Amino acid sequence: MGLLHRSMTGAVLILAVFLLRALALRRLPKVTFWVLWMVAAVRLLFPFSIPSRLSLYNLFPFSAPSRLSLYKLVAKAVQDGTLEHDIAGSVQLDGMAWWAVQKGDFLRSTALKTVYFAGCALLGAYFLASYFSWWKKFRVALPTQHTGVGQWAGKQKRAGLFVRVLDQIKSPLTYGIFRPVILLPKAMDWEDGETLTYILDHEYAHIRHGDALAKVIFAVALCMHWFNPAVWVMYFLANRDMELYCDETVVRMGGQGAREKYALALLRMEEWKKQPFSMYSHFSGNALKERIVAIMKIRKKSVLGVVFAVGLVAGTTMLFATSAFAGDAKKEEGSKGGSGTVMISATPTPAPGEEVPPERIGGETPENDTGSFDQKWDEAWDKMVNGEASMVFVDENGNPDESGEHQYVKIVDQDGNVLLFARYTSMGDGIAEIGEVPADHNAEEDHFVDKPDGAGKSDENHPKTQEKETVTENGQ
Amino acid sequence: MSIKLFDSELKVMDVLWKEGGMTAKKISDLLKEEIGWNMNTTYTVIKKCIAKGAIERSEPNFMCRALISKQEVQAAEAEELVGKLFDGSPNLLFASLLGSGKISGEQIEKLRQMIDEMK
Repeated sequence: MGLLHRSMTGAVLILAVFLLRALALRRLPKVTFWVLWMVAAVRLLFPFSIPSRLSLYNLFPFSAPSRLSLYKLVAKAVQDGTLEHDIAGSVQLDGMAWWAVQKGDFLRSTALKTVYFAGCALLGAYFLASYFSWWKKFRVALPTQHTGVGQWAGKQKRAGLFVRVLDQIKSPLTYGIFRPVILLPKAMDWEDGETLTYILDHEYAHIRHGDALAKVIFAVALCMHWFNPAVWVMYFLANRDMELYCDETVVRMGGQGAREKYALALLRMEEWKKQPFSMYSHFSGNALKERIVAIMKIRKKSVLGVVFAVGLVAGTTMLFATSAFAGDAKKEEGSKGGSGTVMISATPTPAPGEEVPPERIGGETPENDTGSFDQKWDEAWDKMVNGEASMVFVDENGNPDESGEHQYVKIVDQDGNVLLFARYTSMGDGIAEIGEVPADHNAEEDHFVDKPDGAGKSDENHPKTQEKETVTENGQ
Repeated sequence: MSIKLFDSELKVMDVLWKEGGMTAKKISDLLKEEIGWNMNTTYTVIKKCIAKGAIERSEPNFMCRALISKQEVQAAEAEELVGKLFDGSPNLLFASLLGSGKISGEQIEKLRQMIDEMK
């Protein structure tokens, strides 16, 4: 799935989680949202695609495109020539991918690409710089001899828990993915054993939940999708929900009345600052009200609640994180090797051992012409659509062309036979025109009509040009 | 004397106050042993102290020497504490110390002696 496609799908998923959260935050175990935000982040970061009958995207009318729109899809891809591989590689039978291909022009514009990468770099640099500058401060923290801390550490299952004190922070925090360290501010009430225990339990919950790593994942997703406002929403809410999840863990660990005591402890620390773009987990003030309310409504762990939550996560993922299922298709990703190879299937590919009907069109090479070009094209197209052939961008000698300046295309069936070797041109309004490469063609004499970047000669009177029909007219 | 030292810097100063002048390497080895700081961390803190005028560096070997004494720092901090929280009145500080019940009978005796000697 291309970047834009993932970003859009991710946005829909984020919206769904947002609505779910707005409706049911109090009633669900907080781990639900931790998982859901993770699903969204993974969806944003990784280019896999999971087609599913249950996907919501099946509802969209363009999800199972007609033959004509298929033509348009590939025609556009062919015409563009210099496709982004991630988009070309994911040309699929769903409206979203089609959209992504059409909008591929968006990303191909150098100016926009520059802006995108500049945005990523800036945001990434910000995170790194901020992380680094805090880390320098954290390094000089000192170990503590406080007996309360020692007792607490002794009770935990994890050996080598580091708790240190730093006079340069105002609220407790946890850092470190491989060797987590809990930092306590020097200026806190060390006599208040109860609050101290709650703080340590909360920070330890961050460690147990793997929040340090989670924060990195969310930050990376944000850097890559900085242009998408939904991802900013995800970033903020995910961080908040990590805190709520830790609060819930602490309260559930305690017994009767733990809720009230913990809420009071939070209020006691309310003067501590909030740092919205921090990479570190910490007690935060602005979201305090939400946390207190959430704490007061924490329920006992129940099997039903867990089942319900699991169901919700599975359901949301199935509905929103998957992509449309086209008909009875067995979908295949565009192959990763070779530039611009596009494999499209709309019906099940033959099982191994099953024979591919050997009807071939016009022989192996253009020398053995037996049919008219249009007929050949139609038949080759049919084969492609059935998954029995694929289209490859090539140079004038029929060799795969990695340069990105495609002018020729070859349709090859599963046995490697060339069904059609054609030259394409594009006209200003974006419709590809395909014409067969004559057997005796001489590349230097090729005439093209208005190649997109103006290269190549233009000759409207060339006989071949005039007798071609456009691709879109060949369809149903 | 208005050098403000963070806890980390005081820790380094403490080493010099206890053991006298020594090389930066030796300080970092000691602190690695005692509190687990790696060498870079210690060197960074030492350089901060140098910048603040608390440590003097001499070659060869990055030799470090404390430029202020512990007593000077104590006096400065105490004065600031009195000014900040006790309205400039040391009496209030004493009252607070005595009232907190954290001072043993022995220490109170010593205080009394000190006051007598000052008269």
